[in-house]
Amino acid sequence: MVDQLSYMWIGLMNTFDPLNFLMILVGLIIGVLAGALPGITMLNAIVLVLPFTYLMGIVPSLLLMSGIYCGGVFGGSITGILFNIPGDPMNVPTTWEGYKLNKKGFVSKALGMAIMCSAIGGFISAVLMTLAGPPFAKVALSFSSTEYFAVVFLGLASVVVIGTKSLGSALISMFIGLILATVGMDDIYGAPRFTFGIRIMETGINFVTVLIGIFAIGEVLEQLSLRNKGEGEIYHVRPKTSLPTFGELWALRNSLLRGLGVGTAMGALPGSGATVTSFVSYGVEKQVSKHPELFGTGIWEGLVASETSINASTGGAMLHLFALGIPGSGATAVMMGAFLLHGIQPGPMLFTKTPEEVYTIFVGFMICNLVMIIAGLACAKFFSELMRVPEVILSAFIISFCLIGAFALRNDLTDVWFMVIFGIVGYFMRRYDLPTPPMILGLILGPMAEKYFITSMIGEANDVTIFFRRPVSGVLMVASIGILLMPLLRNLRKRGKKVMEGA
Amino acid sequence: MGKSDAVPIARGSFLQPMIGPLLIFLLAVYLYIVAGGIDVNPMPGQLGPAFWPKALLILLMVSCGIKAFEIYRAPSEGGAKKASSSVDTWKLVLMIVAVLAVVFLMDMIGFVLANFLFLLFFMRIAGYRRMGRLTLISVLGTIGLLYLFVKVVYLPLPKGQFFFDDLTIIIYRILYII
Repeated sequence: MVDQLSYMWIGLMNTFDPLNFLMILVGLIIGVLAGALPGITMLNAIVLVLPFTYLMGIVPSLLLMSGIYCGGVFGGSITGILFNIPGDPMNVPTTWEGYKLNKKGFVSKALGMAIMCSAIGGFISAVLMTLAGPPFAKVALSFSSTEYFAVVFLGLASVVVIGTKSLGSALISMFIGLILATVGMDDIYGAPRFTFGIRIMETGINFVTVLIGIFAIGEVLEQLSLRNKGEGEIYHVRPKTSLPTFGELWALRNSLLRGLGVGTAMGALPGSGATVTSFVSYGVEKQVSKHPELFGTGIWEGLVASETSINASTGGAMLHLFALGIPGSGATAVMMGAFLLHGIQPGPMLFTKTPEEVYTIFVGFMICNLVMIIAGLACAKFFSELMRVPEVILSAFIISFCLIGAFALRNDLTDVWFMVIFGIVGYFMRRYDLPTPPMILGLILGPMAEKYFITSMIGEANDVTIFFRRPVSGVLMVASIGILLMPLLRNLRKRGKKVMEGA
Repeated sequence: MGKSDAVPIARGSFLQPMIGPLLIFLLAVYLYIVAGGIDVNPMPGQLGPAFWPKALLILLMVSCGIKAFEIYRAPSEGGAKKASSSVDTWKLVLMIVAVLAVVFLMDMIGFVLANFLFLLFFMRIAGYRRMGRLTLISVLGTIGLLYLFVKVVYLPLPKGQFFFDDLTIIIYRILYII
């Protein structure tokens, strides 16, 4: 504990190093703006700054990305509350209540409440992450490949089931991602797989190219291909913001705590992400409310719960990356890319090898959430100016940034080709309702899943029951199977209900 | 329910959405055959490099079966998300061509010219009408990106081939980038 506090103190000092603090500020501003601008998601923004991190150390790089992460998950609420346009899918529940509150004349208070709840959720989750990090990593160090495979399996199972309408679509998407991850030279046996004689394919498909392609190019094509889409709408609103008083927050403490609880718990589940978290939190709030019929008409409880939960989920997602080396969300997957670009493998060893850097990033993440109040207020005020840039111009520059981002990975145009092809694939996946997040998670978790599975099999003479015989992996595997069976049980219950009603 | 209320189920209502899963299934079968040719002899008793992709491909085929079953049970949910009428097909095709062309041109004529042409044409295709502004944005945008990535980040963006290589260097010198 003393060690932890001293590292936190060092981390605090390092955070206020001019470059590090500047990166937090820049990241927050980029994040809030990216989250707020429709067509640019927080994930796009993190991907777009990736080339800039080449010349930085790992700490300022991660602080820049953390700033974007914090600011981005909040930013989409600004346009949601002001114009009924959520900047990101995760901001949809906030929009449901926030825009109605705006229409009722509470626009400044709704914006202020959203900023404050995001900051509180994010700060507490960052504190929990800092405190839980070392014990979590210690437990993780005692894990063997069997437990790691079970963790990865749980991550894959969660992403398949939660938040998708069709289990079949989600499974297809995930297995495509997992198969794409096998392209190239096999790590264990050194055999080329699915390279079709093309030399560059031997190094495999970089998940960052797929990520940029699917999220940025796919999104741009989807938005701009809609009929009657001209230069894009331009808004002339100048929003004002007023932060809530302590009394107003105290009156909503239960919603805030529930949002915090759901956000933290969902964040700790690998692969669930902020979008699922915000919907679950909103749903829970509606379930426990004495006036569920008022939800959707502009109710503070709905806004507070969803907004708190979004930022509360960020700490858990970061914890997975640092303590297990497994990204818990799309944003942390790109952060993992930044680690790897700097030649650092995230995971439990980080806490023993480079504790000062880890704690600087953790404390920086806390500071991010506090500074976000100022950045959020500033961005909300000046936001109307940026909204005047036509969507067409923004989209064209997004693609230019993506081209450079993909090229910068290996200074090779093959990655740019991959990125563009996956962008087109991503567009058609969206159009035909094939969810893209399971594919991305499959591509990221695939190599880990294979490595841990094959290693376990080599050590256990191909005995698959090992995953169920060891206590930690057994619990995780049973939980994963339970999660996978959830939609089936839900369907059976629905059918049973229908039969009962029919009778 | 009266006869007039009945919603007729078109003969192809679930067959059309089946095409997607079927194509993916066939691709998985083809890749399974390809995976059979991964020729490294593993140590005796080990699974070998082909085991993992083969297992995934079998699971992908099973997933296609699950999807087909879902479509069979609820045909309306298996189709395209958006009505095709809401998508401007020509605009979409032209945008895709522009995106593919810029990558090809980056190699041939270099990033500077390719990006300028891309910005110009992409914004025009996407619906931006004012040509004067469009040209100015494309020129200034490309210069901005060059300063940011070549001068600040030292990223060796493609310079093009033959004559275009020299042309890119000349542009860099004019702009004081190198």
